[in-house]
Amino acid sequence: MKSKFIHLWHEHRVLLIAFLAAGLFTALSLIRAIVATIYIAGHHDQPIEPWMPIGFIAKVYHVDPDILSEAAGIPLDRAGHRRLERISRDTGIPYDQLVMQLMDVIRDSRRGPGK
Amino acid sequence: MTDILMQMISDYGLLVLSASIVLACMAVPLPSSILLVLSGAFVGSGDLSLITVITVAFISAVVGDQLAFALGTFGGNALEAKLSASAKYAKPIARAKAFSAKWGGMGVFLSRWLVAPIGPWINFASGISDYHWRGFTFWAVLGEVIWVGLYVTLGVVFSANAMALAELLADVSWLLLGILGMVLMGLRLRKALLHPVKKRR
Repeated sequence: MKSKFIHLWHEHRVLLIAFLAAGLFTALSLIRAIVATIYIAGHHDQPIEPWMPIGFIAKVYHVDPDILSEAAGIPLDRAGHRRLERISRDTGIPYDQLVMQLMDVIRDSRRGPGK
Repeated sequence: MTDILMQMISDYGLLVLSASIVLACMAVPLPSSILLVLSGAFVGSGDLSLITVITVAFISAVVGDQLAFALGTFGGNALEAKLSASAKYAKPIARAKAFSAKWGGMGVFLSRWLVAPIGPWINFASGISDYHWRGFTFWAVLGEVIWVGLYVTLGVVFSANAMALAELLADVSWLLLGILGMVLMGLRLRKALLHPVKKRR
């Protein structure tokens, strides 16, 4: 085995290095894919991002979009498909505070009535 | 990058998705597959229309493929004429053309959706190697139907985890590409071990 490796190292060095690099790259991609699979299987909540519209956040967190738009201080028909950052600008509520308000409502909604 | 593009899709609509797909087909490093999955997720949340997303993505992908193929054909012809004049390059060029004629269709098809990162380079290579336009268009359109259909559907179905899913799909593409590279190089190394070329003294 060692002699074969030495032979390839002397005769086909570039190809051997490329093969080893491809192996390393494949292993890294496999690790990333496994981590992503575990993450998805764990049903983690996708963090709220500035580009997300209200309807999208409602879908991600499995809550009614109306209660989110209410928490954002803008009716759903007016919020439309505007992203959260723009809603923050339009309503004058600072973005971080808006996210906190939405998260509070999401938590309450998940807890359910009377819990 | 994805965040910025998603902000732009929210603000300017599918024009941004379309431009990203066309440019990505021409090897501009834009995360078009991730954007497509996220657009599917927007369909799931009612923020975008399914028919519009599918139509825009499909037409943009086909246009991008054709532009890259044309670039390869016209830019490549000039380069090839120069290189083929040299005896050193004439043989490898002829070999590449023969390989493309034999395996080009499957390569074009699979590189649309399964190993998408090499798609743009296959577009250029197909043009450069004079792969026939009708065959390229047939396999590219077929591949894009699967790419758009699969990625948008996954986005719609798994919209709650769309971002993680889109990244997983990209990782799987790179993983398959890595395995393909290892197999091809492994076969060459095996051949080199089994049939060592004796050096002239």
